[in-house]
Amino acid sequence: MIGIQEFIQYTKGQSILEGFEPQDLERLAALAKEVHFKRDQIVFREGETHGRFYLIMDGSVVLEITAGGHPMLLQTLHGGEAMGWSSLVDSEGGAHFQARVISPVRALSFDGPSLRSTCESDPAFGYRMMKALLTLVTERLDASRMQLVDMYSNPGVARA
Amino acid sequence: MTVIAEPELLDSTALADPFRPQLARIASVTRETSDTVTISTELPATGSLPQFVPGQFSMLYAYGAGEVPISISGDPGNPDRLDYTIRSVGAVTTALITRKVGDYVAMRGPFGTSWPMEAAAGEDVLLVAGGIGLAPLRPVIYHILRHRSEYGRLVILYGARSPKELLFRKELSGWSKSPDTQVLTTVDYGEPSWRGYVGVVTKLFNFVSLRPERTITMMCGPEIMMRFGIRGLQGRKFPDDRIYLSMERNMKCAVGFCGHCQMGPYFICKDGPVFTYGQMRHWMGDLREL
Amino acid sequence: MDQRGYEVLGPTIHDSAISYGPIHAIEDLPEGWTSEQGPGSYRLKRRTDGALFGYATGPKSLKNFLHPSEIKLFTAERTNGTFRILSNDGLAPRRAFLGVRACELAAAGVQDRVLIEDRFKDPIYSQRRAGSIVIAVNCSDPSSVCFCTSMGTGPRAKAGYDLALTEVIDGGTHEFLVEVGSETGADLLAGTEYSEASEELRRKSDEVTARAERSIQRQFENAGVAELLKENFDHPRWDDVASRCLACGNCTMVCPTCFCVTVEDMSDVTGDHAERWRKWDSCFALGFSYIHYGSVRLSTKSRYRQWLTHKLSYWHDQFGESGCVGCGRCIAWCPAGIDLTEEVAALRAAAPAEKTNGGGE
Repeated sequence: MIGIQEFIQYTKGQSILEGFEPQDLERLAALAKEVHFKRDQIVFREGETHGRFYLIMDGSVVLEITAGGHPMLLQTLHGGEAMGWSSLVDSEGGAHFQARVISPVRALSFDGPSLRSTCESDPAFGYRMMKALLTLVTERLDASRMQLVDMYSNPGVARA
Repeated sequence: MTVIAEPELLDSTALADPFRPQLARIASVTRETSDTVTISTELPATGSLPQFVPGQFSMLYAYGAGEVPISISGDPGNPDRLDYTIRSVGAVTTALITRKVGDYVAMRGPFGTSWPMEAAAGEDVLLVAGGIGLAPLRPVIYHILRHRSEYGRLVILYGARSPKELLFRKELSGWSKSPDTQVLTTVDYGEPSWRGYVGVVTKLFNFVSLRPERTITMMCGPEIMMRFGIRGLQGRKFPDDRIYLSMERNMKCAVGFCGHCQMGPYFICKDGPVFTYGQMRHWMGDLREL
Repeated sequence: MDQRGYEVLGPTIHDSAISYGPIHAIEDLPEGWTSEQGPGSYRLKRRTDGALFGYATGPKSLKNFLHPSEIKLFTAERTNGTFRILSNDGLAPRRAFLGVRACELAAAGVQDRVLIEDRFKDPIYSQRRAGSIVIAVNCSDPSSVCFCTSMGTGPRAKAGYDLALTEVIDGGTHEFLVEVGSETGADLLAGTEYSEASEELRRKSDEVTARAERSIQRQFENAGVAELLKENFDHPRWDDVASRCLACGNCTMVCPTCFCVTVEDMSDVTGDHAERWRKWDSCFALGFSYIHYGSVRLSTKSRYRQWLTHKLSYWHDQFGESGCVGCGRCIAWCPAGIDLTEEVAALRAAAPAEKTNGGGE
């Protein structure tokens, strides 16, 4: 748990929290824990059910996967961005990618199941949380589609 | 009233002929990526190269193969050379990038409109480039760095598919060390050694702070990338008439005669290639096939 | 004319049509012939009189000569690891055009705006234009596809000619009223036998024009067309016309103002000689809008729309006037009989109440 003033200061750049009511932030602060990761530390591995949701304050993380023997970096996440959103939905099977730290990270960590049960017991908060989550997922989906069209090199040529 | 013939026969060489190319010698060749090369050209013997302004292009002729429009990617402050960064996408561009030092190409131009170097004076400048689209913006960077005090902050956002498809990598890191200059590079797909951003270029808007009303944006890349870029800028309240784009269309003549490059009321060759988004707004969007 | 070194081109019958060909004597003219035209049709027909110019325009226009369909831009030669570029043939032919109609003069004016008066000058067109003498013959027999009266371009030539004739046949008399439009015209006239025109001949000549005007039935509402087309990019009529259009490009070939060209480079087997040719091109061709990742205008619908919208709308933005002179060639020579006046009328009549704006917001 983190003090509300501190929480507000920590999450100033988090666009995902725009539109949250003061009482929402208090609920979140109550569930938040400050965590630190060193460079090259693995935050979660592919297939792992890590069950945590993060708001990154500083530093950066890369989501990566090994495909056909080639490690591929698919997205970097930086201060002001969220990570581990799948822990907020009741999904099985764990993470699709590995998250590796590329520069030292300071983040707020939330226990996914606790956050989810808060959403269920307070539907108004839950709605705002899910709306924020949907915004985040929409951005990721748009970005994935932009990657899919290979817009810099051969736009429109479907990638094999 | 009809223009009446002079009694003597007319010789076509008597008029300045916009269809006639002039020879230029390749002075250096720099390989940028697996399919992209920069050639630096100079005129043989005496005679100086035509002056160009950032944003202009030439029609480059590879002997026997054909002619294509190529943006000038070099330094407008160096009048002895015209540089072209060429990506191999067809027979003519492939012929051009396999030319060696000492070989000749022929060129017509420079043609077309300039990036808004005057409108940008005193303002912050945001450059958004995708893939080969950094090449037409490089003269802008040279110009601003050469006249650093005349411009505000310079922010260069550059996206490419993968690290090995980035142009001018050494220069990018040099530019990032210039005063009041920020360079952010992102790729769609990284490899383990990559230290920059991974994600689409539009995401980089999140990592710079610019005042939309005091910023001139210049964007160049495939049209689809520019459409995504524009949407990102609009979401951040950048005015349409302060966003400049370099457009691409089929081009055969570069002087408004062949009709191929028309986009709505514009000829990309002579009214462009640089336009404001305000001008282009109604005509962009592939699905409409305008 | 021959003596002055001009090749005279005028109406002749070849390929079952009346179009420009070499004229050496009066016998070369299509005496007693006319044309019957309609959407997708052109037929020669006998007249009941011996008129020399009693027909409406055929497939060829001044464009075929001033802006030729194929011309070499240069030759290049490879020598010792480099190459040089030689100039083109250089000499533009000097030609006198006989039987030019008012709509064709208007069309040449439209091409002047594009190829001479804009930012760049096309040397090929400029020299051919400057090297031409124009002897207009006022139109007496418009066809059913003509609509010059709607476009304000005819049927009587008002300017742009060296000499303008009006053919007057009345009972047993067959006379020509000659009007002088330039010093060259006056000079030409001075070398011929003529007499001062009588009041009566002038009156009869006016009647020829009045009759021609009355015979033009086709209407085209030009006012507001530029805006109409821009506001209706997504009108269902485009799908309708696309289902009939063959994208053959005939309309662009016969249109006297369509100026689009392509450039072709070629070299011989040894590679020592290369040439560049300029050839007419058409916005109906799929490859016309090709850029390295594909064509911008894939569908026939988008290509027909581009052609019509350019001609009747963007042309105003680009050159301050319409690109259409109302000659009707695109109607007669369309194998599917597509009639632009009908297409525009349909867009106008059935503009959907909730039309999708061209702005693409």
